[in-house]
Amino acid sequence: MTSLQDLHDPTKTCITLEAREDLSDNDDYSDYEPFPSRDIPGGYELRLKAYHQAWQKCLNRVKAIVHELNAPLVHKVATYVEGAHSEDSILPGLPYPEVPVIGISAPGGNSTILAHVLEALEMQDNASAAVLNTGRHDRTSKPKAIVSHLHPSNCPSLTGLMKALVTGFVDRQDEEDEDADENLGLTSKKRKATTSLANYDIGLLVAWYTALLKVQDPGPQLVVVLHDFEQFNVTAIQDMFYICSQHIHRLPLVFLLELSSPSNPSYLHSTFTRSTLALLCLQIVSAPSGLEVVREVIHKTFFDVEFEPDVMLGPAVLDYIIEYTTRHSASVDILLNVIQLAYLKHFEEPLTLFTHDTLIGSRSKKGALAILQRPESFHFLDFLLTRIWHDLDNLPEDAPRLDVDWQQPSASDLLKIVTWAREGSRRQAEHMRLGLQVMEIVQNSVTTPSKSKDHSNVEEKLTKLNEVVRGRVGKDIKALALAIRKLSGKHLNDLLVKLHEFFQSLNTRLRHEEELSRTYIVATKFQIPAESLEDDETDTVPDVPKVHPAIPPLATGIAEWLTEYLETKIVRLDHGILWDIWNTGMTPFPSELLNPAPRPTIITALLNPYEAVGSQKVLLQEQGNEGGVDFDPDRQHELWELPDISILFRRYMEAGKRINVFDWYESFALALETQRQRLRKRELQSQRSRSRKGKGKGKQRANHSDDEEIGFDSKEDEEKWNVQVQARFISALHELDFMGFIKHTNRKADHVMRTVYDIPN
Amino acid sequence: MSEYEYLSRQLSNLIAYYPPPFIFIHDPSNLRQCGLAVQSVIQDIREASVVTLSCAILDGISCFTPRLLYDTALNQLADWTPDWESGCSNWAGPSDLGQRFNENFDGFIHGLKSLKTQLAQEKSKENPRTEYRTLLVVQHADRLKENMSDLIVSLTRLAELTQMDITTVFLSNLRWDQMKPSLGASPEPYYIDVAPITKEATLDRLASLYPDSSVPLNNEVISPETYHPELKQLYIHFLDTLYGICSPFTTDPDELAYIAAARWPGFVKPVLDGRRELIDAGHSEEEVGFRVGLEPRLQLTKLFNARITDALHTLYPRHTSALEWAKSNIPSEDILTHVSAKPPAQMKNDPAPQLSDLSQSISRMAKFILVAAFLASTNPAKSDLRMFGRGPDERKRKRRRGGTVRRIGKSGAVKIPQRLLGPIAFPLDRLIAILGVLLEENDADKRPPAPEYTIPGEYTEMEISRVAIYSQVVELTEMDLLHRTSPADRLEISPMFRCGITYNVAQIFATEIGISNIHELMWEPA
Repeated sequence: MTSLQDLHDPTKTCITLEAREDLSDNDDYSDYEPFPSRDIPGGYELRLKAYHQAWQKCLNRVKAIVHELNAPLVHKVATYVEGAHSEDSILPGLPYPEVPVIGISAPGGNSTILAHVLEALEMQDNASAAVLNTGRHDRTSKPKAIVSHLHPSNCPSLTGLMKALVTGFVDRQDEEDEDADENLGLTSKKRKATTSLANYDIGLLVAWYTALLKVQDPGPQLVVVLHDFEQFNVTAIQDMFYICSQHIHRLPLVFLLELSSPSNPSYLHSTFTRSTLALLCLQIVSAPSGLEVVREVIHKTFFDVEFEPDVMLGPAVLDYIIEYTTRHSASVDILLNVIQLAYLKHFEEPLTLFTHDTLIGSRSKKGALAILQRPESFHFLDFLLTRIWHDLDNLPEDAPRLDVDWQQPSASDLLKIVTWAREGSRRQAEHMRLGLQVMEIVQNSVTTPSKSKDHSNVEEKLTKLNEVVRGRVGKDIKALALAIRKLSGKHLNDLLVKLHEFFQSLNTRLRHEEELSRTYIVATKFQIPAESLEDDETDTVPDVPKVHPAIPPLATGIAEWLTEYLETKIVRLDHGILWDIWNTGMTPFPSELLNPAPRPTIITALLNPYEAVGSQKVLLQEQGNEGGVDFDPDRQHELWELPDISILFRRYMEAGKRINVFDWYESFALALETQRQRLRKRELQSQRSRSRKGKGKGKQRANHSDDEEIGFDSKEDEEKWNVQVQARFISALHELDFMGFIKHTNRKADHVMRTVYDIPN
Repeated sequence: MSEYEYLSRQLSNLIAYYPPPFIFIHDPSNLRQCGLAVQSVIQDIREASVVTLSCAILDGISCFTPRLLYDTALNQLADWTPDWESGCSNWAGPSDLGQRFNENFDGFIHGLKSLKTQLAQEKSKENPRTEYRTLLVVQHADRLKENMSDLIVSLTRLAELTQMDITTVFLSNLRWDQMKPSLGASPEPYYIDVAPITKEATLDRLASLYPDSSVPLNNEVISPETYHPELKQLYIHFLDTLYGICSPFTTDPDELAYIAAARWPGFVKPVLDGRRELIDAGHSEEEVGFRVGLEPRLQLTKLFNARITDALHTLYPRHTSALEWAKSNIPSEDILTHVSAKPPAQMKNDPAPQLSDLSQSISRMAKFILVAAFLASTNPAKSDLRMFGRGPDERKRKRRRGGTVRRIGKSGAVKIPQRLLGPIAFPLDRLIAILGVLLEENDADKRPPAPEYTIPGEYTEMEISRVAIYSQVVELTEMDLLHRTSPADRLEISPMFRCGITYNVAQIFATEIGISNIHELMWEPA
């Protein structure tokens, strides 16, 4: 504890107090067992591995989807950057050359779009280099665009900004920490700080680029990426644009702005002067973001036949996603956070060990059996069996079952059951996805698609997904069937063609399984009489639609088939043996982790410190079944029993708007005095009880001392105690100050202001 | 004679004979054009070789530190281009000793003196008879006042300080007395004031920008014949119309050229289309010229009148770039046959789509926060308790009714409503408190059920202290919809904000989140 010695050193003005060792984080989780009563040894680590696998699969899928969503915009931006200085994109007759600027606006956040754009720029480079060098990667390949990044934190002033801009190109280092200029074929003497051009002089950049042009013609585009554009100093940026526009005929600069404000009303137009805007050839594009993207990602990750997530989201998590994204902020990042947290929580459960296989971390089935047959695993086996029996009771009588001894299965039988249940659960989820997609196809063809990406519309779609997960689609199916009955021959044909296309696009296995549906569709399609396919829109008398007599019975047939098909496919996923291994189900989402309320939590903890600590312990241990947790939630603690800061805070809550610090100290000292007396008494009592065992005396004395004040042994002790009280007061006061509960006023030095009022107990 | 010709003649005479040490050119309308004129004067003098001229043209914005100014000036005066291979070194004097002239003003003077020696040597070699001048031109000279105000005096007295024949020329759109140093430290300049450019001069200048057709046009947007030399006559008429429409708003030649560049391809397209039709019908190219008769020309002009106004409305504030605009405003093939057709609706600058864009990109909670911020910025802080305070007995809010109280009389001062005075700054706590009231009254029934909250209002209380709200506030600040007025690095005070949305936007958001009438919540309703 060097810091304590520093306290006595008068030359030190600042002392760092190290955190107590017992408070530091412990990353070692090898012996962490949250559920000892129903887990196998090392289960937690195995489940973390399973989690990692499942999460990685889901994350990769989401990344791929986002990549695909961004693709059109990325292509647009990359093409714009490439051709920004070509004749194609410059209008003849302009009074002066403009600075090409493209802003990518992503309100709500789309952190990946810029990375994708830069990736695309690089890829184009590589592609062109590959063509030039007949496919062989050459170190002397010349890039078509050189990218430099500017961040607002590095550029507080114009000088900083220009320096970052110039050195971003001139002093580039590539990944292998070599001078990147040599790769471009540039050589130079070392610049001197004093007699060469200043490193914030755009002349330096011009000289560099002129030299570059000698070895590479046409020269590359100089792409400047301005991150967090809104945070840059507005005047500095405007001056920078002016300076760049003076040299734009010699330097093919292209600016790429990362905007977090919406494209309309535009941040640039509201903050920049017109004279600056006149220098720019500005284009602002909106990145895909918001609720629509969230919906797309959820749909394609969890409700698409093409992809099978290892763990399906349950209604509780979906509810939370919908609530959070519609209410607070909708972005892919938030969505990923939620899914990841839900997965993490899901894999707390011991049984999720079986998510991917039944090997339990060993290499073969034998190994798994060996692990299960160890005496430590009996708890786990017992729990598994109870669960299976419980699920079996809820299973309908006519459901197919595996041919094993259900009442007294062996360990290997249990593993078989698990494998069988996994297959079943996956099949069920797959059917649900299939059914949902068929339903959507039908929905799109019976209703006219509304183009508006309205919030409420997207929200509705999201809610629908949630209902599908809960299996509540009867109403929708009925509505669809009704709509189909009214369809004309042409529309019916269109619908069947679309369905047929969809079934054809499935993978081989599913296509095989859906043989019957496909045959039905093809057969029905041929029954539609050819004359009814004539477009009825050409009908001049819309009031009397000519309906072919063969159509209504056909339509009814299709509606009935569809109703039956959808009802068998879309079923609740929270059924079947061990269903909750592959579904997060109704487990509530730990929203406090994502969206906590720090201040009320701190206040509650200060008011009830033992409860806060106790509940933390309960959270970490299994629900209070283990010994060692000394916590009785009903016990009311006396004031003197509380920690210093809580004593101080109690008094704080009782005070008026202003608190006199001296009075506060007095009352604190009083509480501490009680504390000292009580503790001392307790100590004496325990000493006495020990001595009583030996001598059998002293009862009288104990009675006597109960209401007697316990003084100090010496004057010195009393002084020491007083100093201690003061130190404890100051320490607790500073902690409160640090947490923002105290506001100092200049008017009265000995008074502080409260910052928190009206706390319900 | 145009204004710039007058300037040129005056300036070239001055330079050719005996120039004053300090000239101040004031052009309030277009400094860029003025700078171009000065440059062409210098070019002419150099070509005519009346005097040997070494000249540096600096820019007050580009040279934002003294060192940049010295470097740029000396390099230009010595006609020295730093090159990359030799380490971008500056001009280092005739002796090549690697002297440093950019350290301070003394260094600069030394640099100028050694330059003088070098030039004197060259002069004696080459042409001993011609006179020799040095010229230092500073554009945007007013910016020197911000960046290096102490240099202004020295720069204006350069001839005195260096004992050289050097002339400092300042170009600015401010007047000298607005930027001159106090106490008369600088000598009085020789003033040249440039009058606003006349219509004829503007049109001449614009016509001179007509692109040279010898350079083949390779552009996907416009047809290659758009700037055919034979069309220039039509172009001049077009410019005349354009000037007539735009001159009430701007007479800046650059702006007019910008609008013309965007509008001309569309304007000339019907002519080109008609010609192509004739060629397709079998006429030879020579036979079908580019001449446009009076009748069709008047028809075109009439047709495009409104469209030029649209171009002005969109392009002058730079809502889109000229290229984009030209792309999206190419007239349809049959425009001449449908003379009465109105310009397409998308050309109009409608504020409604802007708002829908904004309102879709932010979340429900963000709208609540913005409405709360609007109220906090409009209502005086003292009124909060009366407006939002809710006692147990739910008494009616008392509010000042009937809009503004106008005290016309002895005081004469009319109280202007806060809504018109601009937003007032408010601390974060106040925003959160108002947000709490709004949420409690308008959001309570839309929340997911939470049985753990039992006390009325507890849910809202927890909701407004959650991290999501605070991060939303920060996000809105980044989006420029809230303005932070307190410095970001001061953590010990409650941060202050100012609302960044207008009354109309606030009203729309309020309706969207279920507050039917935002007037009810305003202390001084409109």
